[in-house]
Amino acid sequence: MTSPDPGRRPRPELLAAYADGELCAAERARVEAWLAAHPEAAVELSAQRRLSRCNCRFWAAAAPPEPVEAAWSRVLNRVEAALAAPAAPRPAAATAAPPAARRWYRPRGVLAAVAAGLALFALPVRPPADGPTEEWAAWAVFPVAAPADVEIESLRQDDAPLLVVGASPLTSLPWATAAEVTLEYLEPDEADGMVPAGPAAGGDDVPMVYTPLARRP
Amino acid sequence: MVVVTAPPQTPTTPSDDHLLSRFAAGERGALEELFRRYRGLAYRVAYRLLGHEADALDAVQEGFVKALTHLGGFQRRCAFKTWLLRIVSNAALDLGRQRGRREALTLEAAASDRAAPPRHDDPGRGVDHADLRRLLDEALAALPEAQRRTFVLHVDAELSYREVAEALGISIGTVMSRLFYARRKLRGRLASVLKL
Repeated sequence: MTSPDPGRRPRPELLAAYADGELCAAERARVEAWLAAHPEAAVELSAQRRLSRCNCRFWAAAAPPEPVEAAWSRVLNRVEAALAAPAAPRPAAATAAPPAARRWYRPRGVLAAVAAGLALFALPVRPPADGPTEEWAAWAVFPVAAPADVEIESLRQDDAPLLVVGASPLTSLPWATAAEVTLEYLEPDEADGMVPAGPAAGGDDVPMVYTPLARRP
Repeated sequence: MVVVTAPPQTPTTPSDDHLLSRFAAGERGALEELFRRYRGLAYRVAYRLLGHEADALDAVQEGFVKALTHLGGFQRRCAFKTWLLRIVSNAALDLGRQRGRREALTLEAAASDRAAPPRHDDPGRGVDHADLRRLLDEALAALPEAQRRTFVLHVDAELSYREVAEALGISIGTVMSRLFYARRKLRGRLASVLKL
């Protein structure tokens, strides 16, 4: 294990974990070494601590109103009634398995796949440069992600032009728009220290992400 | 913070697994005991996500029903508590989307309230509990959904980073990041009451 380098700034989110006591000994030592060399960070750390669950006084004062026992009894009775009720028959269409060739269309599965793709921010296959073809147009479309479902966790330099913003070429696919995306932190590349550039706001050529062709059945 | 975690399990306190087995065998008392054990935590999570007591109780009800009717999907890779709170938070967020209009009306009312001075003075903070709760609810409502959910599961449900990660199917690093930026945003809105 290398000794902590007080000059190298730890990832800022480590302060949250430090305030919550969630770091291992090595990471804790690294953060403490950096804090000792950078007293100006005490303000940030203090804020993280005051909004941690250690601040019992604050959370007690802001506690939700406690339901009366009668309200709890009503909820329990309704839970029991719901569990005792026979399951309602489902429409045949809802229970039948989708055709194998179309299975990837199911929103929940695709949403998970898309979410994973967004988290990994690496979509290696792009559609033809000249836009949707007749083949693309033949595929049914459906909403896969609302703006609230999209969270960009990190961004690599190479992927900056592919940030998930802009209008979809398939009109009923709502992605987040540029106005709905807030870049909170861009981490410099470890190799060259360069900070990736975010996309330009607005304009007709806002970059967008396409469903990877590789996901097709 | 008011501690509403499950009571420590003594040799005479049945484990969750034991209660679930008894529930599966049709024993009514097992359901009641599970409900009493986790209703407080579930309610706190739902309340923080919805900002409304009756809606929060509806989400608790929905969460328990869904969790117990889909026990077959509970793979025991995490604790029942973690799994239940994930379902309750899902139910709360779904309910919040369905009742968006109520939220809009509540926010309008809150906005008009903000123009008025605090109704009661507290020597320690200058705001009473209701005002503080309202400020916190508004601040939480302004967070992105993922950050709000992560924050609530950690702070109100008292789940560790690992448990939050298990509940949401995300990495511990993502939990860390969401909490950091959630607090940074909350700090701006709550600076006066936190004396930052």
